[in-house]
Amino acid sequence: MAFFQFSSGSNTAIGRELPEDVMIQILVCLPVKSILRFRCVSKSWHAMLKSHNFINSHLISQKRRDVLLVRRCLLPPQNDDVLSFHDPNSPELEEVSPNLSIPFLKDIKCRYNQPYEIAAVVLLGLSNGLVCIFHEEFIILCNPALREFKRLPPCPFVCPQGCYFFIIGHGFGNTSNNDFKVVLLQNVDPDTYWKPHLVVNVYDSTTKSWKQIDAGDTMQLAFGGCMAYFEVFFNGVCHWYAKRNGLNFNHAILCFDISTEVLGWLEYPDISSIEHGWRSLFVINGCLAVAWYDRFKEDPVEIWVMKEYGVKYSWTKQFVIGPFVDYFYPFLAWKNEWLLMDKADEYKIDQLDERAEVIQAWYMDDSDEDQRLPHHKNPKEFVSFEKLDELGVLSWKLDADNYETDPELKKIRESRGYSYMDFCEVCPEKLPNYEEKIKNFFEEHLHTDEEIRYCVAGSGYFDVRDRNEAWIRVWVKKGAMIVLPAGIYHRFTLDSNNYIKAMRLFVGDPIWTPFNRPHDNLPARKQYVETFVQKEEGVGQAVDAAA
Amino acid sequence: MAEENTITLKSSDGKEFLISKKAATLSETIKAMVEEDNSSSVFPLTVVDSKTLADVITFLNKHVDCGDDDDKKKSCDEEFMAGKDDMKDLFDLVVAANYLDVKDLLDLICGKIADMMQGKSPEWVRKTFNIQNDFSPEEEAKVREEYAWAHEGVEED
Repeated sequence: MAFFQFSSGSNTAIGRELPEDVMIQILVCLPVKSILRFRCVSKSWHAMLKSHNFINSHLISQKRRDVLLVRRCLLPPQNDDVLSFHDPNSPELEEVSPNLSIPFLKDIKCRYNQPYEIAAVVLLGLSNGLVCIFHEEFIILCNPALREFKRLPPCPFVCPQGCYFFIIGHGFGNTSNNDFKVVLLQNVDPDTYWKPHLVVNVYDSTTKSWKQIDAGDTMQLAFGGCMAYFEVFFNGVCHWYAKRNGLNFNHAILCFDISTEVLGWLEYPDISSIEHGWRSLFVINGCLAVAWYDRFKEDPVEIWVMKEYGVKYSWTKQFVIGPFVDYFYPFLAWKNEWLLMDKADEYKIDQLDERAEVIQAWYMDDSDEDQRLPHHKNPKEFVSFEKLDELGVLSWKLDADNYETDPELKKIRESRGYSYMDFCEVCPEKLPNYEEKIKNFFEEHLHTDEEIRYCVAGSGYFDVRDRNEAWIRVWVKKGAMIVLPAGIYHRFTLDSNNYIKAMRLFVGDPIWTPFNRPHDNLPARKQYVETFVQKEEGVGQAVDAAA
Repeated sequence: MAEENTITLKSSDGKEFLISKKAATLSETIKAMVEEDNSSSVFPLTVVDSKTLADVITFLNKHVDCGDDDDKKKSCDEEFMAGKDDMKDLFDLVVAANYLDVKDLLDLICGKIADMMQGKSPEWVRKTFNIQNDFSPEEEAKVREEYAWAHEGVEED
């Protein structure tokens, strides 16, 4: 039996060499800053740490730890355009220093003596640890770990005579060999204007040169495609939101495989009223996703996920968020349950919540118009699930088509002890004295037990008082289950559809008695105030005292 | 019966350790030895001393107990690493893990050594890993200058 012997195995003190492969395995665990510092340890370390092999191994090992997100922001006081890096593993998505100022943009500012349009700069990445920055005058590659910026040679192809051309899309991605390619999509229009040709310009990091591919006229990128939200690199392929030329302009996703340089397309999900609204492409749960939203209608944002890459029928509407009063472009999913939304020069994070599709809540205005109208404030002021939670209002989205067999419902009933169940249908045809009855429901009251309603058809409004006595209107639709805690002042009305079918649940024998306001001395009311109203006041006082 | 499921590992300084076959064969090297030589029950490890081997065996036994439970493994590893911050011991362990080809242990120790050297100066690295500085002062200054920011905030040796 042969035994492997180490030359260094007999050394006992520190100050001893380790086998080279072990040493390398230790070094790949180090952050970039340490590796750059250790380049001056010796000539052989310098050569080794700079070698292609080491850099690749390091990249792979760091990837396992997750890369950082990148976003751009304007940093006061000079409004420098900086890249902001965030640690995806930190609980609050904390920014990681340093903020890197994009160097070449400063030159432009000087030349025109005014800040350039922030939207004129498109950022793509991180791909393989690199960020690509596009501006009409240049393309810059940024390696945030090395804090280095490098200008790429400009695309050398000129527009044929008698044609117009526009850059209509950007792409950036890496091959499996860790080489990268930069893609510029161009529409080249002959004078006729009607038959634009799509031309793909590709920069290849291995050859350090540009090449041009004519894609013909079957594919067109949607106008306004020059934004990062419309472009995503995923699965080794660049994706753009596009339209296919044909009888109609069909919505599609244009694809360019970075390795094979083959163009193709993916089918778009069947989204209603597709002609309107904006679309963002991003990746969530390891799937390609489209966020669709109409910023003028203040509708909720729909998020569709392509569960199986390349299969049209696998598009599924998975989340609905918002609606947002201010429009934001969704651009990045974080931890698969948060969505980062971009708005000009800031970003905000919103939780992806399946409930938003069937439950929405907002503050009400003071008008005396028909109670069945939405009664939004102007401007609209929506209320988050978190806020409802704080008031003790619980909710779920359930499968209303299969409530008889729904295991989720069964689980909720078991864990919360909801033994009693019946149905209640409210509509003019089924309820005698309909108009009078719904006025009664709308009388502010409380119950000494939870009010549990599961809307299996139709829709309606539950209004609840917040801590400051303001009315919050909670709109429940088919599939929404809501629990109002005992002792909360509330009321109910149908909306203008005049129909709801609700499952009523209860712990034990049901008691439906309403106690119209005021009934502040009931134990249930006192308990509610103690648990949900005063708790927050207590916190507020503590903060005030600390300040 | 019990004997069939255990083997004895003998350290370089002649001490013997009884270990279950299941735990021992987490080491690819021992696994190969056992497969090659089915009749033996004592396997000499001429490059691992008894102190280090005892540590390695502790690690192997813990990992066998954890099975495929990654969370459990993680907390086991934390427990195993607690108090292990002597560079000499870590070097012994990493060399043993490399020789015995125990990937989980090798990763763990390499990560630990990297954590300890992360904020250190190039001088500390040379001393610790016995590396001759063959740069001339001018050459070294030039390399330092290239990424001057990487030399900011270095720990005292």
